Amino acid sequence: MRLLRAATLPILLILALTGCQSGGGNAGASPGATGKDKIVVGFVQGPTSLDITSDATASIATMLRDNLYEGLLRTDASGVLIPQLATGWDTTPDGKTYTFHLRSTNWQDGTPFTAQDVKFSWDRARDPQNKPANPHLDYWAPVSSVDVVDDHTVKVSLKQYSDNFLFRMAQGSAAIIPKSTHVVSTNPVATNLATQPVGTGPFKFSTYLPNTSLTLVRNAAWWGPKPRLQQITFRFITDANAMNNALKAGDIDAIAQLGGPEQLPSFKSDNNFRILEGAPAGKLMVAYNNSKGALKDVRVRKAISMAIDKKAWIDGVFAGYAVPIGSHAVPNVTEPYYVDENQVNKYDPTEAKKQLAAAGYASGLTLHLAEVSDFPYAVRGGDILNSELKAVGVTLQIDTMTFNDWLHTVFLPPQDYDLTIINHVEPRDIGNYANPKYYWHYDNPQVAQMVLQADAEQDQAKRKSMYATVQKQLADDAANGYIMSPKQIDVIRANLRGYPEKRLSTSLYLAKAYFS
Amino acid sequence: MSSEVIGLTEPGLEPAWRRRSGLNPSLLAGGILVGAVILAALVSYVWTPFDPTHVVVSDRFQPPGQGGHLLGSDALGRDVASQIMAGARNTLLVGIVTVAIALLIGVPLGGVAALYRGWAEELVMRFSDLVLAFPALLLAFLFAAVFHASTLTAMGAIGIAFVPVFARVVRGAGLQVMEQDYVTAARTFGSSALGIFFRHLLPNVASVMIVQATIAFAIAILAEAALSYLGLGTPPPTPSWGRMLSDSQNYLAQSSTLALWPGLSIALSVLGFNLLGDGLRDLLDPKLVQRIPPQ
Amino acid sequence: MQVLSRLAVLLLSLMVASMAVFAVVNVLPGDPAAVILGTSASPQQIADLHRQLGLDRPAWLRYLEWLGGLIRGDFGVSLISKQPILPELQGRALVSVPLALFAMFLALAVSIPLGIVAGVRYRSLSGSLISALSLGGIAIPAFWAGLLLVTIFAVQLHVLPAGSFVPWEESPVGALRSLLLPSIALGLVQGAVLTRYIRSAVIEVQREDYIRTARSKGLTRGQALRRHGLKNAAIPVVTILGLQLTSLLVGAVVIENVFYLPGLGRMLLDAVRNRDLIEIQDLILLLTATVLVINFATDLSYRLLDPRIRASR
Repeated sequence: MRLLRAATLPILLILALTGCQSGGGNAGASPGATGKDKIVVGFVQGPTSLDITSDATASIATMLRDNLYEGLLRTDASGVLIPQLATGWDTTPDGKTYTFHLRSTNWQDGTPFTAQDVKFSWDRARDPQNKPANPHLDYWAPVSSVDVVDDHTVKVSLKQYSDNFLFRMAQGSAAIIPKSTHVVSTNPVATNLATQPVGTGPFKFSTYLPNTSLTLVRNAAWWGPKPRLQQITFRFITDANAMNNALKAGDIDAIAQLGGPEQLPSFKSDNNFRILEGAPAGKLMVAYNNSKGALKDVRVRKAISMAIDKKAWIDGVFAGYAVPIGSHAVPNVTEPYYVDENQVNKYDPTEAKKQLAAAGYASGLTLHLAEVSDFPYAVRGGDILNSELKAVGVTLQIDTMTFNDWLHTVFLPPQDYDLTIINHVEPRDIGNYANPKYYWHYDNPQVAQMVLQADAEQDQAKRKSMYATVQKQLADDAANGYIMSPKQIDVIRANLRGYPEKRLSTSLYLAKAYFS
Repeated sequence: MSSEVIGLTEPGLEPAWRRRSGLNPSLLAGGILVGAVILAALVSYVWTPFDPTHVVVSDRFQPPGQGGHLLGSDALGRDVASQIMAGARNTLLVGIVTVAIALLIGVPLGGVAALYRGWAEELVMRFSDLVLAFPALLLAFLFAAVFHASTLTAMGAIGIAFVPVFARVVRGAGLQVMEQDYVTAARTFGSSALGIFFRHLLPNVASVMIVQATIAFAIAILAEAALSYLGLGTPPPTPSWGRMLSDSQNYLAQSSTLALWPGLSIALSVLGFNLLGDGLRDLLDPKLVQRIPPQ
Repeated sequence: MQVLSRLAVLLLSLMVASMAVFAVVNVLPGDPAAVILGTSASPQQIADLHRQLGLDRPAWLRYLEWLGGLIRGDFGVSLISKQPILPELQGRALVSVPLALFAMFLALAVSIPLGIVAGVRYRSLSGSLISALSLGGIAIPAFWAGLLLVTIFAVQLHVLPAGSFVPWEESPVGALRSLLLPSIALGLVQGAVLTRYIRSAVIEVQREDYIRTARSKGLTRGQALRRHGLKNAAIPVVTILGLQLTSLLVGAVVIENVFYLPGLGRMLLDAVRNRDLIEIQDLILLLTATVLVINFATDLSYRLLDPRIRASR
């Protein structure tokens, strides 16, 4: 009988621990406690480096831009550009010269922020020789020079007017980095920015556990109103299911960009949480390598586009929380030039087979899909695509890889792939079609020229019609298999206030957040 | 992830109720379960209720029995029963290749050790000591990192991890065989080492090998399922039980039965091979079956 | 003397294991830089990384540097995060080690009573029932058990977290709660294995002469077993315990990924996915070294427990 008693000990222990929750008194991380001044935000993806000017991962900008790093200006919730490190700016009538007036403030290490830092940051960002390279070199393409007028004034001269210039300077990779603490090391990868970021923002760097979490603490010397949160922790949870459960269990306070929308119903019915359903953002597509093999043929690309049932993807991949797109633009305020091209290359497997036959692939065709196994949407999408292509006689070979591998084989040279499923989250990135070396290898000189002209056009109506022509052409060329624009969905604890309600830009500004 | 085969009963210690019935229940139950897996795999080559990879999103999360889906449908409307059948194929393939690798490398190594003794034996034994320090899963992780993760790296790693087990068993049995008078006689009359290996050693270790291979099969199934679950085994779209389980984890709230079928399939196949190994041991009664290091 | 020679064997095994790991990572496939960058990286990228990794120097020198670093407690720097590996290893161990110990504790708590009952009553239906149950338990993959527990306790009953980890410094109770389901999943399957071993050992012991002698002196079967049998039955069980601890360690690698616990297993899987070869090298060697050390300790305790072995060697 002593033996039986021994067996009851672990059972009692289990009861004790489960009881903690059902009793509601979870002492340490009491969910929904009032007066809490620390927040934990869940992210699907951690950064590969903390250097905001070198990392192509969208999550780094979301976490650090506006919270740790600042730019001269930022985008507010309605898409309007507002001053940040610049207190204001003047533009010449030809739109070719911007004079920024800078705020008098300090870096988080105590050194003063000056015009030298701005010149250093932007000259470095636009230098293609700089390693690691800025992922958005094209942002600075219109810039001819950045000049220091005095300690608190910077003049930027453009080769020609650029409609996108200011908008882009509000993005993550245009953040200002400190000249003094940044050592250009001989080591091509390691710079101290990657491990010890220093910015001017409301929160400063505390600790970073790769693949686990990143913690920032309040910067008491910040120029703005004192943030109410003492500490922000970004926790990386790649598994959508674990993420949702972490929020329910009170381990995290918010999910930035929900990975598993099929779980939304369980949050909807619970008063402890609020669902922030944002505007559609991002272009989820099956990207085509326009220069490779059978995909050079527009009929093959059209056939693949026509084999794709957007409705199935929207329901199967994002549980309905997405809108279909027909070209490279999304219906939200950041891309005012959007036109609906969904009628082009509509779902039609019979027509797809005809196009393939016309291109000489009546007896079948094998294509490779580069599938990023880190992204649930890519994995689910891959299974759908496999089934849809099988139905029109195309065999899909799936090569799974990590996002890091994807960056080094698909996105960066050698860019060796046929198809890949990816969600482009950067706003106003249609300019990539002007670059035949971009990983799609889309090479249409007319489109390239018109995209550049549109950016240089000061007349809004003319600009809009040029962008419309480009969108139509991209759809007609089936440059990529445009599928949908997923809605930005954040789920937060109901007593969390001041959290960006409808996030448009990729940043998650938390200086105003607090718990009621 | 551990699997041991310790008989349902030890020889000579059968409980009274079983001794009376006079049949070998392990062999019977194991045979039925393994037979079912093999049957499912074979039938899936010619027929499955649905195409196992065919997506019908509007049919997602059908409960078992609805819309012709015997075991329901998954998050993309694929038929679960068809995927389980096709997954059996993958499971058997992994088991067969893994055991084949272990046999092809392990048996000759053990044979050499027993026949030549001396430094050859020492070398084989130290090599197997070294490999034994690496659990199969760790080896698979290492292979997946260095080569690209695939069914092949998984099978290779698990197979290599089993090599020492077979090498040791063959050596042990070999040493006994070499002591026999008729072998000594054969040697004196000039039989080659190869001849002794094939004529005397192999037939004598065959029954041990069969039991050992059956046990190894069960462990290979578990290891492959774990690797596929972690995304380091069978890549999509090939249906695999381990990956079905990892898919189902995202939808536990939508459909609690999705996680049930693939898990049950793995457990029943492992149980089947374990029982079969057990039953075969009772039947063939080899004394030398080694325990396989826990995974 | 015996202990010393055993220790020498352990050290030698560690050396050979480290060489094997280094060889697989650095020598077998050709070029680690190409492995890291993917098969079709540009020559320029490979050359850059070569310099960064110091691959232009001979392999034996790099091996000695790596080993020397490990001995000095310098585990190197992660290729992906550019952070030193040791502090992260320590943080991760705070999850994995308690998980393995907790699971071991549960496994023992379940298997000792069940195993003894099944062993003592092996002729009766209850003994056979426990035996059959444990055979089923062995066949269950621990990660599936984890999924089922999540479905029941987290999804249906909402009493325990289904994943993610509350750090110890944030809340010890929260951390324990995060480890509970994973430990049960891991411990139950291990418990099934142990139950079978304990049962066999107890059956074996009952056939020994000294038990028969004790019974002939008028002790009941239970008394005889308690006074003489169980200690002897413990000997083979201890050996198995050592082996089970290593299997727990490997099982923890998988179960951590089911419950999204930031332990060593998660770290290893991330490193494998990102092909962070330095981290992989360190982690595989660390786990292998743990296996070897546990085997060594088991071997020693086995000798201490059984006087016959001590005398005979």
